Amino acid sequence: MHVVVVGAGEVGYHVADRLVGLQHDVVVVDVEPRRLEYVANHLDVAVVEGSGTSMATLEEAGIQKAALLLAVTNVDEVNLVTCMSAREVEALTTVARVSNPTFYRDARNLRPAAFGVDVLINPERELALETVRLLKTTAATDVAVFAGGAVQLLGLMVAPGAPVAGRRLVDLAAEHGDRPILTVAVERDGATIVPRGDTEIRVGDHLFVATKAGEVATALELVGYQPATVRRVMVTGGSTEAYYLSHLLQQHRVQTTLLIEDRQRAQDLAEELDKVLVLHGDATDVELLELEGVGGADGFVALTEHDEINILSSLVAKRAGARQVITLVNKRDYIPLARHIGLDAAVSPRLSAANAILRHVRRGSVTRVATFEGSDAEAIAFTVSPASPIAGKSLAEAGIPAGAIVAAIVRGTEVVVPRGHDRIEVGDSVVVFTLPEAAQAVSEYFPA
Amino acid sequence: MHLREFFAPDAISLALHATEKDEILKELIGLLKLDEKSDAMLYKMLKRRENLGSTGIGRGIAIPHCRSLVVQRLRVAYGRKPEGVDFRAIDEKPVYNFFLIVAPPLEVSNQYLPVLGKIAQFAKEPEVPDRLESLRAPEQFLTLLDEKGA
Repeated sequence: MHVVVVGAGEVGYHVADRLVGLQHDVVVVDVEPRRLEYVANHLDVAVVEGSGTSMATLEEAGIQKAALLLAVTNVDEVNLVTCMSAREVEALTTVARVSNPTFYRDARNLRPAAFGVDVLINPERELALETVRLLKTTAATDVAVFAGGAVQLLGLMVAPGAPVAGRRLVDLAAEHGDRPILTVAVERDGATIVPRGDTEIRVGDHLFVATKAGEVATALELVGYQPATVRRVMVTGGSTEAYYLSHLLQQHRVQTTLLIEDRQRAQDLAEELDKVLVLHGDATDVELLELEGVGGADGFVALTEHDEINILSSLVAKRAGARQVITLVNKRDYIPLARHIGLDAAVSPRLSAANAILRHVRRGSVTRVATFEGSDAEAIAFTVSPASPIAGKSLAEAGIPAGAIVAAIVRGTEVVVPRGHDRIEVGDSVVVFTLPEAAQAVSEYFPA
Repeated sequence: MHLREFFAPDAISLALHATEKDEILKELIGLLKLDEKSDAMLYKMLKRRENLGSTGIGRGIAIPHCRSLVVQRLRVAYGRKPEGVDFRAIDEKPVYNFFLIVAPPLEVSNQYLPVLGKIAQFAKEPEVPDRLESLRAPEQFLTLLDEKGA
């Protein structure tokens, strides 16, 4: 599939990277030659210099043969006009990144169809939603949901004293056979493996676990965490992400304190968030965080625009006793570091954007893709077509390629976290967790 | 938890005398009826907190708050200044309603954050500023809490 990506910033770069990985043919457009040069040097894509709002530029990028146009610059208006420019192109799906909350507040403001936009994505809001999911699952480092939330894929660090520590998966399966919880991957010493029955779980392992929504608490207990409710959360930063998160927490009736360094921004958000305590102050000020009672908070979420400030304030919050700390990290290199120094979970705007976009990149039988920060692994949802070589077979008969594992089978409203004897039928939605080396083989099992 | 439980009738003043920020803090502290030394310590703490960022949260409301050893349990006070005072609030507008919250450094029941959050929510309710403006006696403040402070 030919894809035109307008915008070579963090989001555009990351999305282009993922699309190349999915074997798509990608052209990246940007007005800034230096950004394009970086993209061209690092990714297997073509680049075109110019504005996506110009049809001539889009034509140069091959818009006439493209199936997908992704307008993902950091300027909402540019993205909308880009999609508008390409509205006459036949058989083209257009995706615009639009972040400004005011566009969404009033239905009169934004009629995507009027702009020729097929899909609107809002990475900042996606990030806020992901943060809420992380807060709800307390100990999780990652949460990806499928089948409308019925299937959950959780990243979890194995805590000291966890019931699973020192045990082999085969023994755990024998003990908890009735529990629909499946370990789909183990990340250890920087490498991700799809485990086998004789894989022994160790304290400090980063596990990816597939489970039904109703069994999340059990999964948490097995890796050594107590389920807990979230009553009070402190958020730092005046970013769009901070706005969306505070708004969501307010809707969930979570008592929220929002600490913003910029006075004008603090005032603006104070007016919009009527149930949030908005305070003006410096998020790195240890004394201020302590005076505001960060130690008694169930969650602390650092969402300023600066990675270093977020990491620093998260460390202060953790030390003061905040139960769960979530840190916004832009720089890819900082993400493993954040986990290493004891922060609970990192969220990244780039990853949220990529996940939001990839969800709409339907290729053949793929209905949904989730990626994980700091790992090349992907979770992909496929629809099983009659052409699938494994339709009607059990998982044991199907012979899923090494490096991949079926995390869940969804049949209508029924969800199965499968074992070898479970069958795959035509029409099922199948969630597969796969390492990069197995991705191609897996996709051949699920033709359109 | 109900906000009403935390306010004593004698820790409510509907007519503060002070006309500037520091004096307002002192007058609010006075409502807690501590000893002189405690007053001074508490003032120092509240000043420090205000220097890190004003607790004036906009819409004419300020919530000076801190933890301090001078109290054994969570203490609160309410003060009203009908003429308004410049408290360097985030919206830079005068403040009319002051809620003082002081908690001990370590509380078993950990009420500091819940009370702070509840007061902020209470004060930000649309009709509350008008209702506060029309109060004639401290008891009416408690009645308003009964109604809105759950």
